[in-house]
Amino acid sequence: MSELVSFKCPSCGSPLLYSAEKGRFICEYCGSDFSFDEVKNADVNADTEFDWGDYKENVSEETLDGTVSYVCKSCGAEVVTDAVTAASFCPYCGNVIVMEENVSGLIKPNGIIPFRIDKTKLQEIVARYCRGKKLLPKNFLSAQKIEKVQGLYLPFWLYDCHADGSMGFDATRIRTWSDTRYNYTETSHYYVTCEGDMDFKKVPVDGSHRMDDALMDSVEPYDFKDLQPFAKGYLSGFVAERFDEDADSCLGRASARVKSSVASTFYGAVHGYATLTSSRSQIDLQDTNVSYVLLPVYLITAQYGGETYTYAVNGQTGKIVGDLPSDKGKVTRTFLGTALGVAAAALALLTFVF
Amino acid sequence: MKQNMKKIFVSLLLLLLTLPLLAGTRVQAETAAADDSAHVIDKALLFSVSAHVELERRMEELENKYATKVIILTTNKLEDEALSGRQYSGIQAFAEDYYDYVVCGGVETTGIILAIDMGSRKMWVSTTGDEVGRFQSDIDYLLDRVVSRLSDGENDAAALKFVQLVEQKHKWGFYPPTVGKILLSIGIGLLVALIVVAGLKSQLKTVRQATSAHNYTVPGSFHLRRINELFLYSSVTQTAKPQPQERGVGGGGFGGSGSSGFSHGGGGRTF
Repeated sequence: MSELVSFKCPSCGSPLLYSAEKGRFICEYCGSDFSFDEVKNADVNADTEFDWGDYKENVSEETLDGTVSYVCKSCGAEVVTDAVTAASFCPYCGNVIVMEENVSGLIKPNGIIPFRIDKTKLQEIVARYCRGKKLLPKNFLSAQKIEKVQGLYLPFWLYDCHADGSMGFDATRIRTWSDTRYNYTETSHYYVTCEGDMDFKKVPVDGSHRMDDALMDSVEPYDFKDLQPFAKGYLSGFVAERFDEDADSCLGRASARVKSSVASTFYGAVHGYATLTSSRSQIDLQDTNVSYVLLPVYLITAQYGGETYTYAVNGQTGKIVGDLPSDKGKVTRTFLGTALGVAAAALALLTFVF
Repeated sequence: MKQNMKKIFVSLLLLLLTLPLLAGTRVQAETAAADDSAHVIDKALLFSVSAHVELERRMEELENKYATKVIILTTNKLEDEALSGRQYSGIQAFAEDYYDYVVCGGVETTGIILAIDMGSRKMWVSTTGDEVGRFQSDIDYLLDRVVSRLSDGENDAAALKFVQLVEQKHKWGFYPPTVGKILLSIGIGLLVALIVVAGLKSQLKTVRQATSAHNYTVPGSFHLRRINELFLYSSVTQTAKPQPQERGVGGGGFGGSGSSGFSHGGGGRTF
């Protein structure tokens, strides 16, 4: 049986919830609210920091498949959940629970960006997202569905690195002139090489195996000025997960993004040629440093046509992403209506003007 | 002898009586040309009597109803034609001058003339006054339908089609779209609909795998240490300059001015 932490109101003992709108912890029963510092004082591991090196050295193998059971400190019920769950609710009494072992010790996150978007704002964001999309099925993301959405803190790795490299380009310059009979074009071919370096800070890659990588990439960017030192209190009222993809296995995605950015920066720095084609690239990442953070996301799922559609809303900025389905009837009507209207207009134009 | 004389006299009488019937289906052009109010001047004797009568009736009606003088002029050999001593080698100039001087007596009038030269097998439709603008965009439509009938030797049908198209243009203001225009319109409609639906569908797709880390570049950290250029080789290509060419005259419509100085529109075809 694993250890479980819950946050209770010092006044009445009821569960405390974090309010994204007020930035404070609220007791829904007696109305009291508490600052972050008051909650932080209860954090037993406030001084420890996540270190990927220490983690690798000390944690040889972890089994994160299957389920883990906890005992709710409020009602005593046995709560069964995923091994990666870091925070949730007791399904029997609704008490906020934080799985201590998934957010403390060697795997305590370095930081967290608290939710800034509450559910009222979320409904506005979703409504705005659906507005004007003519092919979207009617009432696809209704308010009722949004009410059931749960805020989720997801694990992300943030990579800092220094990128150093060189690139080679096949380049041409073109000179033209003419005489009375001919036009001449001289094409001069060059091989251009350049070397340089640049720094990157906090390149995020999600560390959750079950989250769609493209969906998590699309919900970026986060403003890391809001990154706070981690405290379990922030998890109160939200679901949270710990990482189940480690920093080494996620480094490849960060590295590819960094190398692509360096390459395009080099490309933009070479001027004065008619054509420029990359032919060689050698970019190395140095001084790579990784930190482990929890970032806020609302996940919305909806069913349509026998398929499940998942949307993510950045809990800090409100950016919403996710592929929406199209209503086949609306697609057909729009296509035929447009085709007929345009064809009629074109026919009238061709008949009366041309 | 007396009997023979009588036979000859009767034969001559019969010949005189039947001569107009032998000419039968043709009408002497000179008669028409002499008549200032005639609309059909059929010097080449292309049209049957019934068509001639029908054409005259409908062109008269057009003149009364729409104040437009519609003329059909045919000739066997353009080189034999002369107006005020001027010889013609082109059907366009002949058509325009005939309309301006012979039909309208040197006064600018609204109208349209179809001239057919059987010698060169060329036809020309010339418009003047308000008809220039009216037929400007549809002259090819009219020419195509008349010339196809002339090519098939259906002279009556060609002339009646010409008059019918003039009537139609005055009555409706436009011609029914051709199959080509209909197909082109459908094609444009389908293409635009495809682009619109694709655009609306793309609004529904917002998930993209990230391929760059530009948002996470430390500002001002890019340092370009070295840039080298190595010349490999060069090549020169030469292309001949296009020489100015004389512009040819095609079968499509274009306007001009006859020797009268009046503006004309129109176009011609060879059949």
